[in-house]
Amino acid sequence: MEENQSILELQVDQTASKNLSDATRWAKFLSVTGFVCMALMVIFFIAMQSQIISLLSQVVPGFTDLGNLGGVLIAVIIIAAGIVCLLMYFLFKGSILIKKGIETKSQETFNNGLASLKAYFIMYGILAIVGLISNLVSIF
Amino acid sequence: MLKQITASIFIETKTNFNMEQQNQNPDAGLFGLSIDTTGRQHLTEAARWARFLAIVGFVFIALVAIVLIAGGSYFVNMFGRVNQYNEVGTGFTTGVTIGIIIYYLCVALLVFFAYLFLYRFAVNMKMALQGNNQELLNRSFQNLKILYRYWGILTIIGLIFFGLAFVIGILGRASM
Repeated sequence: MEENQSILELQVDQTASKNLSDATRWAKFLSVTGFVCMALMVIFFIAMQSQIISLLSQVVPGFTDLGNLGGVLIAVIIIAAGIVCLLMYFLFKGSILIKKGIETKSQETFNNGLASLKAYFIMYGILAIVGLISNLVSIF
Repeated sequence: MLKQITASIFIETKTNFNMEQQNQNPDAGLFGLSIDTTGRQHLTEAARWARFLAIVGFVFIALVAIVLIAGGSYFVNMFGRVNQYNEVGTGFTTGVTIGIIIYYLCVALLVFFAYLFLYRFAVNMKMALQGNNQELLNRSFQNLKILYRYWGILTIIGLIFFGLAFVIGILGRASM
């Protein structure tokens, strides 16, 4: 069975490696942009905390009476940014390892890159499920 | 004895097959990387989740489009009522509301293409792994490349618009 499998193994030929190299270049760019955007968002929210709370208190009456809700809001934003950063980390790691695996022709590095890509899609899927459930809960 | 003969025939067949495969695809031997059992497992799982994500994306986009198209007149009436309480009088006109609806429909269309590439990656990958089809594997990786390139270009355009809005905002505030 194992022998049969090795005969029929799919190859990462020149076309596949070129496509994967291009994909990893863009994926790396996207992940780095994601990291920078998340960092800027957290810095912005921390720096503008008092203005945001005063704005929210104008829109939502009694917002300032709800205790330390501003702190909770910042904590939620930091957690959300952390989750997005973790997602971007899997994409970044996957892109780096796949590219390195192709360049050095290392099967192990290439497989580790594919594992990171898999982790990225799994996490993305779980977040989509969570988003769907929260949307459904908010509708009903 | 029979076992030895069978084994030697099998090895010979395997060698011939490998030689044929190398003649057909000279790059395969050159690069040396392959989709082995571990890689196959990772890609199968990734394709499964990617397909799920793409289907969820399609459904979500369809819902957004239906709400925007079917509820268009409702939004126009709603923003018209908001205008009645607007002292400045330069609030949401019907044209602006229709413009907003068209803008969101365009965004939905742009996102739809991204999910289409994701779906193609997932479906081609699944079929390639099931049928050991090299062409489908290459097509799958090509769709992955197009997907990330597409998101990358959209991100660059978004960043340029964000930067322009930021500069215009600062200039506007400075001129006041």
